[in-house]
Amino acid sequence: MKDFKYANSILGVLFFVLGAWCYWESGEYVPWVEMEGQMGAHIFPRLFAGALMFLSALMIFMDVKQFTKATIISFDGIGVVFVIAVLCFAFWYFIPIVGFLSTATLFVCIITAIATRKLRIFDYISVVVVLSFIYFIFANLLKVPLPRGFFI
Amino acid sequence: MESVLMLMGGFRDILSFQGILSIFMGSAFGITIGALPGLNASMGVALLLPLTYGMAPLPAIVMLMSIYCGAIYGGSITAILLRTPGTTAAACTVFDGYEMAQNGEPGRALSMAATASFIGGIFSVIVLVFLSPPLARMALMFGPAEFFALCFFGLSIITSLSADNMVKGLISAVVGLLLGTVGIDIVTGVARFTFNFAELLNGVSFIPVLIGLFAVSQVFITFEQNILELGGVKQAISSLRISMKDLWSVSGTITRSSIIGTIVGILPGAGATMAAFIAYNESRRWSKTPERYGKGCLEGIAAPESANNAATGGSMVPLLSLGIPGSETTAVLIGAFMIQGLRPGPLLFREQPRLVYGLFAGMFMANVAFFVLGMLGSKLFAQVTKIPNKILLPTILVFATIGSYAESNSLTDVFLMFFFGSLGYFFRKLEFPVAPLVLALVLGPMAESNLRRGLIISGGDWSTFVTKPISLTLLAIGFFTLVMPFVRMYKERKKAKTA
Repeated sequence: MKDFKYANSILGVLFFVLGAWCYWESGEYVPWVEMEGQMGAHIFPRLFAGALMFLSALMIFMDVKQFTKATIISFDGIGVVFVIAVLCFAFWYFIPIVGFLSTATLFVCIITAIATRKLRIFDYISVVVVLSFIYFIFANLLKVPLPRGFFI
Repeated sequence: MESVLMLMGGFRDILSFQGILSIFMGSAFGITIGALPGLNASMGVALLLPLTYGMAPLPAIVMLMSIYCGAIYGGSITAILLRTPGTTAAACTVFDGYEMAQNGEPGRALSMAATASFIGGIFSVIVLVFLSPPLARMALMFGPAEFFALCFFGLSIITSLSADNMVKGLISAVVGLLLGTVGIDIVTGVARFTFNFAELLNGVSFIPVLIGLFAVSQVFITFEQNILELGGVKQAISSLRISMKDLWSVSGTITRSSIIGTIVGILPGAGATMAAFIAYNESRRWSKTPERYGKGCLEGIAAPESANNAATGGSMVPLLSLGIPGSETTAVLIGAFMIQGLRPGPLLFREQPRLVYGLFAGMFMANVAFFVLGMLGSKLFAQVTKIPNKILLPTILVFATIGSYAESNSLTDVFLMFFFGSLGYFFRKLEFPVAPLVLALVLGPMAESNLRRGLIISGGDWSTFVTKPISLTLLAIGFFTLVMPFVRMYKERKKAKTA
């Protein structure tokens, strides 16, 4: 899909729904007993949710009436971003199961493979050396307790 | 005059082999800690605290103070080179620092950061030496009403940060304010937007949000654009130093930001991050060419960097004069004093004047040390931008992961970091500025808690915010800052119509 130009209106709707949902959810935080001079926990979330609904409605209005320049976005290259994002979340998921160093080694190698789209051994050695160095600094020198799983 | 003589004595005490070694070691360690995302000054001080058990009081505390000063400066290095602020105080430095690095001037940006940090730091030490008792008393005049007004003033910057697209900037800020409400409400104890996740009870951690929005989103964008051979820079590295002309051009900005940084630093709980944002906005507001901000201008680096380092000296004012730690790092430093059998406060000035002036001299030298290391290292640090992206991108992702995890040893923070990385990618793609979100997330919870505390103290009387002179002044300036961009927009439109 190329040069999508209704982004602002669609985003406006999404933000309006988010605002409405936050407004509804903050109804849960209304205190049972009102205390003098004390604002309930719901006031600020409601205020901000209301502001979000107003601003998103304004954005839709301005976009429809063409008061502002339409945001034209291109989705070229979004595929690779999607793959990287999925890999990031998979990395997060497997860290406590496999262990940080093992998962990170595999992760950086896959990221490098996607970046270069070639199988150059030197690139993999470089990133693994850098990763080991970072791991050594944090885990051994600074004693940051990085998660361990089945392996380190 | 007496203060000057005492200060000379302090320099005599600290300029020993052990003193200089502790200052340079502390500064080097501080710069490293500050540059590593997720590790901050308080962690650095806490890490080296056990090393000071066997040391004499003066070099021990000065070493820890050097870590503090070095770490605040160090945060700018990765902010400029990798779009990853090492500390929250360097969040503002990203806007212009990274752009300058992209334009082939990473060395110049780094030199500016080191110089501005040095001048800001030295300014605050001078204030600390000569004005700490009256300023500490002033800090005590700040109650919830004044703090709310200060937060409002800080938040009013949002409109000028959003000047390019006001509605989108404001939406971004409101999203940040909503995120700031996540967690246990400190007044009533109600859990808000936590959905029974215990990890969210403390709210959304700031570091993962920052790393995600700035660093991870940049990695995604770079992958999308398929830029593989060059690192951070699009062009060859041109200059590595700032000239006297550069320095002269930002002298007003540095002076103003140093004053702002010192004052905000003195206020307990305000901190270097708030100081940097306020200084950045004030610099932009006073500038004749505000449109250059965010595109890689020197003032955009000089303002936040001088302010955040000036806040280090400022935060020492209530600590040394009153024994009140105004920030996380100074709270850890109080521990160092206690380990040495000392109690900061008015009595320290009376009982141990030699040590106090030794500390002042040590802090002065700590600023010199990080400046020397920063300037020497800028050429070396700038080489990071020459690393090919195929190595740099996975490295940034690993750094980001460890940085997010290290703050509270929580994998939830890692998840949040990737989530905000994806959000940041879409925000940037859809032309939503991320700076208002970051600012709102920092100041929103502070503003809310102080407003509510102020109302509880006044028994629900809203006039408490406008009857106190400091609060009224700050609210008035905040209101002025808030509406100014709208007035400017109106004038520009009118001008365009008549033309």
